[in-house]
Amino acid sequence: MIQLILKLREVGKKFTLKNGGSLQPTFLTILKTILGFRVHITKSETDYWALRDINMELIKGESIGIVGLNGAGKSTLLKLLLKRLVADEGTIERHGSIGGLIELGAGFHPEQTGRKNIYVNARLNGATDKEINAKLDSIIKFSELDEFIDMPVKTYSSGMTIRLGFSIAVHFVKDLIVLDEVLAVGDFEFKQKCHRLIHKLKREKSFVLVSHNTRDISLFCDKAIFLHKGRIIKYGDVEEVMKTFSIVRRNDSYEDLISRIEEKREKTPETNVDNQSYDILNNSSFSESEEYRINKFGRIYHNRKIVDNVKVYSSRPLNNGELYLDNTDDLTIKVEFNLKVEVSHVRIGLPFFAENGDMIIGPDSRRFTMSDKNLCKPGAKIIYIKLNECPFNEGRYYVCLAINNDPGFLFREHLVWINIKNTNGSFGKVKTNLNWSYETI
Amino acid sequence: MPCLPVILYNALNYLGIFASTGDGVPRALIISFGITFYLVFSESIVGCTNCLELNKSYINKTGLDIIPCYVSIVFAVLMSFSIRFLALLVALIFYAEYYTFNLLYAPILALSIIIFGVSIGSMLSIFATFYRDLTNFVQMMAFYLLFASGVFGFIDATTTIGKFVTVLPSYIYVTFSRSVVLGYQEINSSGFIYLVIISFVLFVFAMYLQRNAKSIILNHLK
Repeated sequence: MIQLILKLREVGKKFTLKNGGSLQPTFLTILKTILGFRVHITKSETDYWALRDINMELIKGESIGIVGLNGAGKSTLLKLLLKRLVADEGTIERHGSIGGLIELGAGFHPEQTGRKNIYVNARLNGATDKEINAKLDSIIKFSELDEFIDMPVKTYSSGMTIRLGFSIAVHFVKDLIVLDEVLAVGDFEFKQKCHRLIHKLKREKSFVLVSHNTRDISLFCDKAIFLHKGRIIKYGDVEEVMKTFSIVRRNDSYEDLISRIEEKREKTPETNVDNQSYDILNNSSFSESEEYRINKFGRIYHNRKIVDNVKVYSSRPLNNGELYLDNTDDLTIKVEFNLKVEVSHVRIGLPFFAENGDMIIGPDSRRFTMSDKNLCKPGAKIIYIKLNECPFNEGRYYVCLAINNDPGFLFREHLVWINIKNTNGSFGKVKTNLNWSYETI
Repeated sequence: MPCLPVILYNALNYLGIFASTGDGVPRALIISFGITFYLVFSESIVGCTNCLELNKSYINKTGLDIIPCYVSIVFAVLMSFSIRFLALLVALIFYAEYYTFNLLYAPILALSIIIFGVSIGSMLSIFATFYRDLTNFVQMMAFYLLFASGVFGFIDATTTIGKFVTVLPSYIYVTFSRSVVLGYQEINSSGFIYLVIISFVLFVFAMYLQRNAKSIILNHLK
């Protein structure tokens, strides 16, 4: 029998902001509110809707992922689900035991021991002493705090606190567990353990998971919500939502986002490499005036008017920096740039990353461009990279451009997004040329 | 400042404010019972005013409702009262004539004071969410109100100060409860019912305010 756990209808949450940005209401506003009078905002105040028109449903055993940029309203939504905030409009129906971990600290008393906090937290989740005693060893074992369980929680690291909080939540919350980016704190082994447990519990419990790691959402959730500026942009199939979210993540403008969501993209056959171009600097969030920024490898890349007119060309149609390929297609990428001053050496990197940020391959031009006198002189340069049959399987990847002359002068993390469709039934992220043979004995 | 309470007590004593201590009732009993009932009053108000601030971690991080926080204060005050009252019952060995059935009224009177104190405290706690210094102010007021609550003796209502002090709820609750329990005053049933009704009306009003305030409290309790 299908059991509804959660139902949100037209839910909205607003905060009244003063012109200075303060949330502190006036004495009169407090008085009017508690006496039940209607409160009208004054000229010096504005209503800020952190969430609006939120509709969603969750049945038992179903899990939902929530993604969105910072300030999208994800944590506010979770707080509404867990009754830590009250909605200003709409209705929220909750059925069954709902709990979770949305803030570091998990409501532990810092002076009390981990063991004592297990009892307090479990009781707040509705557990009896008998139930707590029965599960105590399992909680301690899962949180890996055997030696530290009788020490005050204030002595725990953030990872230890999260481990204990997560362990209590999964042991005592019966129907719906809400997790807000909590797994980002633990170490790799603990994350893996949590993933395994979530996977195991998925059939009996529902999860609401907020994560910036789209891979986590794809792994554990049956559906997803993409929130942007307090509104649902997309709700439904995880892959569809993740695709939309990835497009938005690399754009600053909301208007761009909407137009991109509405856009229909169709794959067209391979054309001449010069047919399609994409002006990086004009389509990048990288500001000309920005002196430098640190890239994900910890290197400083800066734009000191050394390079301009950077463009990328592709042998396949580029639509706002997006490419659509089959996993059997060839691909040529051409990078054009104008070097304005003479440099000691030039090295161009075009590493390919999976959507979650894992580097799949990391080719760079050092073997043929390092200290090449012609390449180091000012003037327009063109670099080609050709993939003979796409080495990746189905998924979404991005190419990163680094034109480097230590310490470097240009970096563009999302040069091109590549959407690959699997047409030959191979598995895994990367294709390899293996020679299989057999013999019968 | 550290000497202020001592100076205040001696000054009020010297001025004859605490002159009357009841119809021949030993001063020790007047003060002991007075303090016991007064602490019920002050602990309820101070405890409830502070309770949201003290429990904000649980409220924010575990989703604990606001009302159980006030309930916990009721239990804590009742527990403290029970311990103090039991100690007083033992001390009454030296004043055996005061072992009367009137002592049985004490828990009901204490509960009535707690309901009044929790009502006031829960209202103040709403404002304490926004104005945190209020908790310190209430704590300080609760201390100095001790001298104006008839704990150290009845206050002459004909004087200017007396007219003001004798209408304070703390004075009315403390002196009435003490008089009833020690039996040196006729049990005025209408007065008792009046106090209980005031407590309950105030309690209902406080719960109405709490219901309206829940949203803004949760918005700002960080």
